[in-house]
Amino acid sequence: MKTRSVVSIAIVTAACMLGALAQGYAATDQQNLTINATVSAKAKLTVGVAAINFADADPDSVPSIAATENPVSVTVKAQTGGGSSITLTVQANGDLDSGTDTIDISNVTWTATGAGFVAGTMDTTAQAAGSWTGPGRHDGTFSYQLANSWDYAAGSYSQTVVYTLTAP
Amino acid sequence: MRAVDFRSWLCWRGRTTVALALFVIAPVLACTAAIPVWADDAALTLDVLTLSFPSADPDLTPEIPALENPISVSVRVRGASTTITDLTANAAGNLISGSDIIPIDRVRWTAAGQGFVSGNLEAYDPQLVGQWFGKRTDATGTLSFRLQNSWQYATGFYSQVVVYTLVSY
Repeated sequence: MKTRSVVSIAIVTAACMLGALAQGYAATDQQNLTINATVSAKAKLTVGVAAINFADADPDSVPSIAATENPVSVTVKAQTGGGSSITLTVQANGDLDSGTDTIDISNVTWTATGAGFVAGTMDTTAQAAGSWTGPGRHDGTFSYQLANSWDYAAGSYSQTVVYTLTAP
Repeated sequence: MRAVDFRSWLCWRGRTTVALALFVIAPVLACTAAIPVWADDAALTLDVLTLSFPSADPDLTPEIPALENPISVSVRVRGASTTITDLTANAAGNLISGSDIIPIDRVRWTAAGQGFVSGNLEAYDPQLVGQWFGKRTDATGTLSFRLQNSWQYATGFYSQVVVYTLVSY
């Protein structure tokens, strides 16, 4: 009886000790998940209005006619290489035309606000309107003026200018 | 017949008895002071091992869903009644493309299924994905991932590894 009791005590003791040693045991498993993301080049140009108008004015009183829609908002957005150059240009398709009468397009100028946007003079060759480096969004404004003159024939003049945004 | 020194015999038996008692008491105290808890089986399964975010216009797609959404996750644990099971996600860094990065915390997931929780990935900081209690866990859920889009991202192919760890204790 006493021998069996001692053996029983020993077994219980061993179990407790193993249990104490086993305290804190954790089961684990792991899995790896690879995440991939592709960013392709893209560019977007937004000009606040599709047309600007210069009202008739007395050249003595208003030597420089501001466009009715000034200032015109411009937004440039591009995903491009970190060191890539982004350029915005403007090119007129010709002079301001009214039948056979013309007003030289170089009489239209603009001023600019916003980082990277630049002022300039309209021309039938591409003119710089802004430049940036790397991806991002840029907001600015253009305000247009028409140099007035008594030499202008009466009429309604029109022309199209094309803004081009390039982001490699 | 040899005479037995009863007192010596009793002392010897007494010392043995005391030794046995101490031998038993100490571990029993240890047993009662710190009850052992263990889990003997834990298994984690993800039905996809690669997640892909395609290129998209940030104005049209401000959050890009992963092509593989939703991914299925299953957790199986066998343990004790007091077992606690945690599933965490730990990103090994930001999304990297050469020298360009997209912060990994731009990736978030929404979870479905009992015990699963939603969250954002973090670099070198395990984030809780799920938690369960009890001796038996058989949980199946889904995780749907989205990448916050931006015009600030440079072009490239970005990649990173996220380690999902299941621990039962």
